[in-house]
Amino acid sequence: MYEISGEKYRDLLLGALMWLKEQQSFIDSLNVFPVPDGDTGTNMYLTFLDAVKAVKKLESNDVSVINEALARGALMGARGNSGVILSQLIRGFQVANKKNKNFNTANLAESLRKASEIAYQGVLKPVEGTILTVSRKAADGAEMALKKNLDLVGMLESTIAYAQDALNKTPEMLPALKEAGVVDAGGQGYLTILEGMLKGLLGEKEYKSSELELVKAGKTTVVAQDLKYVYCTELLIDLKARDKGINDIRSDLESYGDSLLVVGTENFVKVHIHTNHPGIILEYGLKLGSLSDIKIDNMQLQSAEKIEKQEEKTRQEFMTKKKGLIAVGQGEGIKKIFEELGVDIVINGGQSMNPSINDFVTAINNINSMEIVILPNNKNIISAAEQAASVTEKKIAVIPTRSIPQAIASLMAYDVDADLDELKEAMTDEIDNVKSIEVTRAVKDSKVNGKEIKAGDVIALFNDDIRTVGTDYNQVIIDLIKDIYDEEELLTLFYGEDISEEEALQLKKDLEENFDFEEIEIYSGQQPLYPYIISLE
Amino acid sequence: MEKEWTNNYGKITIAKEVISKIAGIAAMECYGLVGMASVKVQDGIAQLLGWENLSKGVIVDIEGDNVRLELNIIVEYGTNIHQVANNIIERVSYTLKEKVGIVASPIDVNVQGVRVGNAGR
Repeated sequence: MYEISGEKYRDLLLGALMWLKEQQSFIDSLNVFPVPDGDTGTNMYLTFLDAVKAVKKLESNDVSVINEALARGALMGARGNSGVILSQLIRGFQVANKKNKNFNTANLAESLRKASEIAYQGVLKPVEGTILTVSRKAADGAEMALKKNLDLVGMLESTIAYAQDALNKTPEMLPALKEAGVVDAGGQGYLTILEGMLKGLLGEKEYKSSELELVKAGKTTVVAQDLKYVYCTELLIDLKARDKGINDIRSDLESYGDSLLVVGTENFVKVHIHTNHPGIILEYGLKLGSLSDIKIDNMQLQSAEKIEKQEEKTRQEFMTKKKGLIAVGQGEGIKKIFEELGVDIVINGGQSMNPSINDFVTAINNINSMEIVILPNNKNIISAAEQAASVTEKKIAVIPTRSIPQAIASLMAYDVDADLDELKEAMTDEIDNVKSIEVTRAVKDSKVNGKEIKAGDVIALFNDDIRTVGTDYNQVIIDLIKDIYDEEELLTLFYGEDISEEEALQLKKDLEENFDFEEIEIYSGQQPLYPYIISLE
Repeated sequence: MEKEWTNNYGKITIAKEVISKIAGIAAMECYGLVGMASVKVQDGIAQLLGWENLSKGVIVDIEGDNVRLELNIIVEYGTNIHQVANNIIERVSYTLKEKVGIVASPIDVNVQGVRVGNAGR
């Protein structure tokens, strides 16, 4: 295989994207910082995802056109330092393939070289031992293979071997990496993309159809014949039994189709869904009560425009709430607390598991309101929330909360009737009125702020910053509070899934002995990873 | 004016030049930034500064406890300028906090120029 078509080239991109997705959290773990932090891998994946999404919209299969879209998508979607570098690397592919319809070995070698050259230009003082070094050596590997007249598979193998070799040497070039005992995260990301391209070339993996849709030549309008779910089904249920709430009904029906909308009061529930089994939906409704206003349309018999128009009308009809609230959190207890405070949808996610843009979009679509407030509750999730806000038609306010306590503080300013912009300001102001402490265990040995940290040590973070280290939760927490205490009156404690109620009560006792809070409240948050989340206000 | 702290033993002062240099170096580590610029008051033309003078592109303003920064930068053509500027603000803010213990706010970034490299055409 010395030359491939543009269609096959799309497989390479898809392979890279999927492999990057799989390796995302591993790459994140290489960041030189001892908490489970999500940065480089996430940024590179999201940047590459946006790039590939731009390719999706193309009908052309020319490699030049594909690369142009890819470069534009990466440029627009670049996130963080590593994302910007990746966008420049991809621009190298664009520049090197300006006239190519197909993609051959010489093109690959030139692309990798150009990628590296352009990436090096973007910084005043290039630092060796980073993704830049890996990109340069990768290009060397490709040129070596070209001289030996290897085919695309052999060439990518050689490229990967060179890149891997360079990556293994990054700790020798950068002391910070050596100290932490890791290789460069960005370099690992680039290597992952190259490996993924090889996987895509070999057709190693079967992809789920939804993922395939991302890169196959796309059509911009919905064609009736391509509908996944055929019947647009609507019904009104007069509830007899009161044991199911709207959220229960929504989650029961979710698996039967898409475009699901459920609204209602205590007595009536209105359901809208696109499904292939309207009968099941009706039967389900019958179990809850009596039905009326039933409407079932076969959307295959309607034009795409008409469907779109009708859907729009339905959406308007269903937008019965003034405002919606979405929050991100992990743990049943945390979820419950949010729901009690009026949050409509709690997206499962946190430090080690960042929800995707798609998770946000789904949640946004599931709320019957045109105005929605989002609380991301983690610094690495804010960008995904903002990204989601930019792709929906609804008006979204993302409050940049970085922790659960900040979210709860900002909810104190929540007002359904307020103007969304003013509300955003008011809620954002509340964030600073609370101090958040998160307690976790270090995942690997490292040195931070001059402190020696061993894997397994208890570390307490104040505003994302490691402040105290030790082996005992209670002691570490008390040390930190001593450090930052400024006459706060209320301490709220959320204990995680690994902590028993007795342990939490003991901590409360210890705190009462050491400090003079007016009130200490404890809640079972059942969150993973963080045994304690504490707020002071 | 300098930034000052007092503790039980005495006073610590940090000169503006120190802050601007550290901020300049931190910014330089950011990908996409290829130089700092100094804007001449008389003609308003941005001039690319060398490595030695990069702190001249950073304007530091201290009023009491408040430290404001203004960075005049030149970026590489073809990068997402908005994202690069964001990265710079984050990096500078983090570095000043870590290395000097100063919380600078606001940190304004003025993009004074774009450098068009030779490989990009």
